[in-house]
Amino acid sequence: MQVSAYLIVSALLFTIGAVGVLVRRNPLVMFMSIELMLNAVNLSFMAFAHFLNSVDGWMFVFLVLTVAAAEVVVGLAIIVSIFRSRHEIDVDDLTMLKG
Amino acid sequence: MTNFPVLSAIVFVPLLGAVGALILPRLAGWGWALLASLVDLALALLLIPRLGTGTTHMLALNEHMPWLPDAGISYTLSADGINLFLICLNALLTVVAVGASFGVARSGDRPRQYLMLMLLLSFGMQGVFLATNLFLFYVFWEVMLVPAYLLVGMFGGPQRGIAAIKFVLYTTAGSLLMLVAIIATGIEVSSTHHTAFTLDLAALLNAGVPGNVQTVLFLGFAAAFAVKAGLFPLHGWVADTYSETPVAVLVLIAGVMAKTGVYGFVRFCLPLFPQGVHSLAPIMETLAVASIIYFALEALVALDFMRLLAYVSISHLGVIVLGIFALNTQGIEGAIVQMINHGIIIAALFLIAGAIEARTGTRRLADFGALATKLPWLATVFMIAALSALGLPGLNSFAGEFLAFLGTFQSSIVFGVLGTLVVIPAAWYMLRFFQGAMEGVTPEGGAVASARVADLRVGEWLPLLPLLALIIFLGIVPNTLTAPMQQPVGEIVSSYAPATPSAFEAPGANGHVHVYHPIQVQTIQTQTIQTRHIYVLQMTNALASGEREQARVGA
Amino acid sequence: MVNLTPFILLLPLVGFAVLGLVGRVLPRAAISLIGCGVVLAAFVLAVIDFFSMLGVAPEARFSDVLPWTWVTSGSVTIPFGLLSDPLSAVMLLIVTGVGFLIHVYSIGYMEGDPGYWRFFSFLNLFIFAMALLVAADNFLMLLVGWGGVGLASFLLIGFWYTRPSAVAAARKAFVVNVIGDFGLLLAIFLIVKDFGTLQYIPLIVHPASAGTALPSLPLPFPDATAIALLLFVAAAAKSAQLPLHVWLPDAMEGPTPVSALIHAATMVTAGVYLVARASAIFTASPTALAIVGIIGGATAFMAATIACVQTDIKRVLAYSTMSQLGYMFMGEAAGGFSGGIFHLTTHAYFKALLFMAAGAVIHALGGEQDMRKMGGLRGRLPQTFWLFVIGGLTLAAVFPLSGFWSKDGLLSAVLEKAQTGGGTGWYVLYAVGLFTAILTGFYIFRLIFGIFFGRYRGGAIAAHGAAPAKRGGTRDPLANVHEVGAAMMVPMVVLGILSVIGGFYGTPWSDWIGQFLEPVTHTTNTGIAPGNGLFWLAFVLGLVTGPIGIAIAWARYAQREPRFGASRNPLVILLQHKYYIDELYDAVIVVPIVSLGVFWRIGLEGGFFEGGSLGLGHLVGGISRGLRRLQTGYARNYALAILVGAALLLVYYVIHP
Repeated sequence: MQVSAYLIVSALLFTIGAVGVLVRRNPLVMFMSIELMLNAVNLSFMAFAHFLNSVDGWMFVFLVLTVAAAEVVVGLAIIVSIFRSRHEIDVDDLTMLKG
Repeated sequence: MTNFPVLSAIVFVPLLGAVGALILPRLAGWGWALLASLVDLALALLLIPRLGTGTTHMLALNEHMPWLPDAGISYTLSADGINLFLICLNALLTVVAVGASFGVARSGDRPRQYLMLMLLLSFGMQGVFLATNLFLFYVFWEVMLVPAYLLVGMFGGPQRGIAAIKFVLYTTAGSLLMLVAIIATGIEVSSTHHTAFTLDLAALLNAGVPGNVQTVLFLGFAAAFAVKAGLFPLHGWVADTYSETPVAVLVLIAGVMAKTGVYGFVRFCLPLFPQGVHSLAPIMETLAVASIIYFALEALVALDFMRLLAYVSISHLGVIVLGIFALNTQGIEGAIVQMINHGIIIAALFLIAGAIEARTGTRRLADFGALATKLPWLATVFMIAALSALGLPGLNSFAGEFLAFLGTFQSSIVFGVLGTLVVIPAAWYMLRFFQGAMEGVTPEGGAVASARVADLRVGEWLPLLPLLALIIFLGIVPNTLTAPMQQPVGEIVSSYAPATPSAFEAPGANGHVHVYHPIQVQTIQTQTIQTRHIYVLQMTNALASGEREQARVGA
Repeated sequence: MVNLTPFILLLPLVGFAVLGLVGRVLPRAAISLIGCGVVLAAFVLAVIDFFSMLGVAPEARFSDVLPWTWVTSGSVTIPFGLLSDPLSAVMLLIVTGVGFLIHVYSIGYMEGDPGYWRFFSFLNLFIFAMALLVAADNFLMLLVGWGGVGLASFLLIGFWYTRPSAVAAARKAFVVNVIGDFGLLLAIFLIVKDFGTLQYIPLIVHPASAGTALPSLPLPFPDATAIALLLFVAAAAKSAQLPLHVWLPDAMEGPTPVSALIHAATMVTAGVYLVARASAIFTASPTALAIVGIIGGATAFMAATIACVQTDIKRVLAYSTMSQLGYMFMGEAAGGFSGGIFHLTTHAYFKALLFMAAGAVIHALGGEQDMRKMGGLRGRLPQTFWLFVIGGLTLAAVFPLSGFWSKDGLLSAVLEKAQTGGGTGWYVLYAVGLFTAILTGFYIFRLIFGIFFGRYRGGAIAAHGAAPAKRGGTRDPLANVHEVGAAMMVPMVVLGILSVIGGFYGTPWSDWIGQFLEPVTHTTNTGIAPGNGLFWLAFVLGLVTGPIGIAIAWARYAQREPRFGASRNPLVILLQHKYYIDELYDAVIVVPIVSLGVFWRIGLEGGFFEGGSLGLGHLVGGISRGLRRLQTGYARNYALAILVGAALLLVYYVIHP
């Protein structure tokens, strides 16, 4: 198989994720979309690693997975604490950072 | 004990003190802080026999450890006759400042943070004085800034907010330029000589900074150093900061931190950028003269004695800058001597001013008069410090000023005369302050008329006594300070002027022949500047092996 | 030959330290004992030094003690050294000798002052600094002593530090003297630059060349005129010569013993000493010597004219001191360096005597210094009167008192200089000197007649320590006026004797002091020799000028009721305002400097720098307020911005591969 096939799938996944982040208002769904984008990148890393026969890509994938896991933990904790205090988690209502 | 890392100990003992001061309760924390600073002082004083012989070279004593070799960053501390007494001064003034903070420790506001920040400041300044890797120097430079900012901002007077922000903005603006210059120095040196990237001062001196970029790089460093020295026109932060800061902190900020800038000129700019320094020396001299005279006149008309002392302080720092950029032995040695003397005097003056303010609750000169009748001992101590500050021959400040002006005069008569002129307004403003506060008649109904009459207490005497002793001792034997710096300063100056001794003889007493050695008028020949310095040969083996390692990595 | 100079310095220093630290708790007797004792001991040592010096050959009369190196920097080494040579020996004798007498006098004068211990402590400090000044073996240590005497003078002028006038006078004296220090510093820099050393030996004094005309300084050496003039700036500031004289009259705010010791006998003569010490440098520059002569002559004349109209008795004496110092500089300018030192010694006797006698009058009158409120005291204070007259006659240079010989020597040197090709200017200077001598006789006897003759013009004098006398019975307002005690009288008598006989070691026929100083001063001009045709003319002129002045004063102030003060004569008004020089300096120097400082404080510090940094802050703040609108707070806006940014980057790299 050509590397382009993997890349097309990766690009599609990434676009779905990006659109998801942009259009959804539920932070949980946005989170999932971000994970989708990360995994799209992982996919292209793996594809290149395979076709270039290098371990560098593997290393980055592991790094991304670890960071993603950590990020999910922190993110979910934030979402839970926001939900506890405000009883709703629509991101458009969370504008405390407005300058 | 020969392998005991004494320089690292000098740097990190205050840090230990800071940790202890934060953990321990009030007086115990104070005791711990005092103990730490005394240990630091003892360690610093122990260096004097090792480096005070007058024959040790520049960067004679080194401690070196690789840190991030690829980035040219190492942990390198060096001591020689140039920074020897500055380390001692910092250690001494830390003891004085901690000692003077007894009142805060006993019953003041947030004593633990206060003492911790003070010792952190001392830690940063010891690092600044000792670090000879440019990056490490920068790290300590910033480490020093943070506690100073917090001390001004948390413990200052009513206007402390704006004072602290001014202070931090001025100094960061300068130090960011210096960071850029540091990196650029490393890049320029490594790319010109095709060597590994390094920021070690000794290695940079060994390689030599290319002449075409020296001026720009010097300006980058000078920005940071001139701001710290309060050089005209970069002094906007000084008067506000000094007038809002508690006096014990001022002992460190005005007494020591103000010297870090002028020290940086001597330690880094002069040896690294001889061509750049030479081409910009007239500008630096002009700014120094402007500082000296402008601030002297400001001190002459100041209404508030804390501001008066702030101007006195930066006017005297102008003398130091003037001496440095005379670029000859007398000028530079006088400048370094004056760094020490100025630290001692300004610390004493601020402590005295603090004692006066604590008794009267005012710092407006117009409110004062005839305090000597109530406070004879305070007046005596004040008199001695004021006389030294105005440069009375025989007290410590005179020796440094004399050498600095002498050096300036040898390099340029115009700057020499203009600089020396300051002795006249200096006498005027110091006497205006002293007589205005201590003599004459007390204004009716003012704060001073009803002031508490207690003379100096033991807790106020103890921090002042060592300073007074030094004011007198260093006035009588200033050679104590100049002897250890002969060799290293000579090495700095050697890159500015080839020695051409000439002498004429005259018959003297007892048939002996006296030989006059006219001072060389040290003109600088830009074309023949030596960029390789012999003292690099004196570097320790540890440092040399570190360089080899870096060279391998680079290859 | 022994050199005890270090101990001569050490003794008063110890006295200063002891009295300064613990004097407050010591009894008065102990303070007096320590204060006077150390100076007496120092005087004894100076005498021993002096006589042991007399025992050796002239060229061996040099002994340098170098206790330690003061500073070494590069090629410059400056030791802390003390030199014992004929000049310093004479000066040390005067300083410790006259100093001791004035210490003793102070026991009486300062009796009852709460600052008694402080006073003696400062006096000892002064003796130490003055001894260092004259015993230093190089210009830098001279400067240390120079600054030290300035400090002692400052402390003692402002001794009564709650009097605003005393405080102002002390500050003025110090600041003007710092101008002199500035000149001395620059001279030192030039000397180091040219010679690389500051030591008198071998720079300006060559023991080996004693007896020859000049030391072997390379002549003409560079910057001779500049160095000499800068040294003279220092000398003029210390010795109150034009235009730096303004501090001395104000310095009379200090206690009278201070005026006698510092502002008449010793410190103010430091400038004369400096010129004599640096005679080799001055001789190398005829220009500098001419300027010294002009300044000296102008000061002598101007100060004498002012002294003729002053009514404060101490100020009359202060102007007289200025005038006499002008004489000394005149003589030195003509090359009569030893003559300057000779007049310095006799002046120390008679001017100290005059100040002490004036102090005795002031003391007796309970602090009154205005001679308009005196008169007729001759009967009440007979001893003081006679001592005052002796001092006055000596000052007026009446034959054969000491002042006659020394002043005659100076004027004779000026005439000799004119004779031997100095130019017409020196004849003018000589004429000025003669005319000033008439003025001298006039003003000092105007003072004496004003104080002691005629009727008493003041109010009742209270007894010491008592409330103003209200008791009936004594109509006499001077009932409580009586002679001073032995502590004050004995020093005056000693000085009176010295004033009378102190001139015989420097007559034209036997100039012992000139020969003694010769190895140091290399005097080129010892005045007109007795064989010269002009000698007797000059001698007679010197003989009659003083008495002429005295006679005029007699006619004006002793024959009829004297009128002091108010006058509509514009010349008198000009003199009463001291030629308006103080006002001129205020307007031309003080006011502009202070105004500039204030202008800078308001305009630059408060305006430009403060406004600049605040303005920069406001600018950054304004930009930030604009940029703040970009922060909507909607997370998806940020995400979109990131995406757009990433897409733009992508496009960029696609276009530019």
